[in-house]
Amino acid sequence: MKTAKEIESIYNLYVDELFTYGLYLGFEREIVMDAIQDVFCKLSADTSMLDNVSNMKFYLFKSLKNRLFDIYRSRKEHVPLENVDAGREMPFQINVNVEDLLIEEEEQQQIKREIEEMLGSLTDRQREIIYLRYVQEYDYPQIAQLLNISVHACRKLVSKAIASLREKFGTLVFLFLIS
Amino acid sequence: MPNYKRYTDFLKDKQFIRWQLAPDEELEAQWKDFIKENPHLHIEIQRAIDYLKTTGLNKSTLNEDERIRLFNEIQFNIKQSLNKTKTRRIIRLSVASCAAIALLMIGLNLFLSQKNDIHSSPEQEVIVGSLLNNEDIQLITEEESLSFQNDVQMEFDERGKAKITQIDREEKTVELTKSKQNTLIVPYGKRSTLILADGSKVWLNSGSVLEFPAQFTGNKREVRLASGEMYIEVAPDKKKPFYVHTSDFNVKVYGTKFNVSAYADSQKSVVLVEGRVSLQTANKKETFLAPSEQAVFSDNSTFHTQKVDVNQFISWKNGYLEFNQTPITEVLKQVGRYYNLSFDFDNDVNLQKRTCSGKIYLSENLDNVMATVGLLSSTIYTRKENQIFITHKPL
Repeated sequence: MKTAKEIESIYNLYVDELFTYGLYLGFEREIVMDAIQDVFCKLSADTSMLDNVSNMKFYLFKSLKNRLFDIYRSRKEHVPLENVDAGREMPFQINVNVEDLLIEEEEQQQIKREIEEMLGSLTDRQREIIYLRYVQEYDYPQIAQLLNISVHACRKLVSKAIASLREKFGTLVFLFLIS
Repeated sequence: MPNYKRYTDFLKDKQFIRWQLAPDEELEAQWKDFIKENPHLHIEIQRAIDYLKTTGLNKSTLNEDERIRLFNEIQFNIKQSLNKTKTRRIIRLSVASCAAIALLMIGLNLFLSQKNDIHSSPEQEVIVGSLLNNEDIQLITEEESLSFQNDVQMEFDERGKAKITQIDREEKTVELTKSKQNTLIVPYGKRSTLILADGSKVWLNSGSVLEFPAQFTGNKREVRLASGEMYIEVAPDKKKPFYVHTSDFNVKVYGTKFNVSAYADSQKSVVLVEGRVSLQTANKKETFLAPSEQAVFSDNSTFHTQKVDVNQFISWKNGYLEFNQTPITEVLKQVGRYYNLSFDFDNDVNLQKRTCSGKIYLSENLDNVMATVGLLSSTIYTRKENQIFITHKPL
């Protein structure tokens, strides 16, 4: 059983990343906040296994994603059946923030363009897995749980994203020059 | 080949971004070589990576209000389910009705703290406080001494001109002599904000004395908090480090947000909100703080650092105080400074062992505030003219 104090410190540590993840999945602010509230209520009610959770952040990400997926599915209720499966492909948009860089606005915009162009060339699914793997730095078994696919499929998805970016943006000749 | 100088040059480079977001063996090898051949750029590369993976692609847009509101709702729901009543999602409340949540929470806190106090004897104990006379805010410069009855906002520009705005009063402009020291005295019961010549923003709490120059000349920016408490957002300037001096220690920063508390009658401490600061005591020992860490100064000139909930330390600048099992003596000290009240804690009574948890909005009306303190600590408050009496709530 988590004490109020523990809940509070967990909240303070992770609420920002949870909120960001929820927004990236395409939900409105209020919906994400509701879902986070549910996640924390569940966390406090869950008396059994919680002390053994080694990776609290992962646990929270997973419950948030589950909760949001339920919401997503309930919204799709009236959509014809063949589209429901495609509904597994939730949107995923990463917000590129350059405002905290202490440089001219023009330079900031240039950086934003470069990053957005690269992220924009990926599919939603690829963007999400790249985010989970290289920004959040989850391992493949964890990502597999978050995306509800096999570890093998995760690896394939990541290498496909990498290959696609290499194809589009890799400048091999130039890089050989550096080395 | 791009000319890399700063971390931002890397962020502009697609090959760098690709290396960070979708690394393959080739990229890993090439960048490893690059770092080997350009060791002087290693720090900039690390900085670019840090920026990209935290602020760049993972910046939270949850604002302070939403953060507090969400937490209050969570706490409320958890407590409600503990009380075995049916869990029911509370209707999302607008920011404007935060006060209503606060009231609900106060009610719950009341319930909880009563449970804790079951063993204390309800004998007639009392804490006495007295309202003190109002003093003016004073700005003392080389040439003159100005006083203000109401809370003030001061803004200094690069040429040493000061724009002074008093609440409910007309704006006033004062010329200050270059690089001479000025002193701003904020008595108990008053607050001030000021924007320094370099653009740094300072919030001064009640009972504070700050010495600062009208302009920052030289290669350092220095101010001195002679007493009291300040929250500061230092304008970034890598070439001119910013120093906050206190009687016991110095804080050195380049650009960051932090709170310094240096009241004579409380523990002195520094709480870092953002960035990085280094603390130095008289014996020259340096302590570094990471965000959300507090350094408490102890009498033997050392710092004890710990993780804290930052909000509890900076909420005063937003007009409320936040407490979590805080002794009532500390709560009354803080409230006392804000409203210029002095409490007498000489006789050690059980009453002083009570704790408060929750939020107190610092409204104009002292009676409201004291009533909230009463609810949060299950005490009763009565006021006779300038005297305040706090007693046990009869069971």
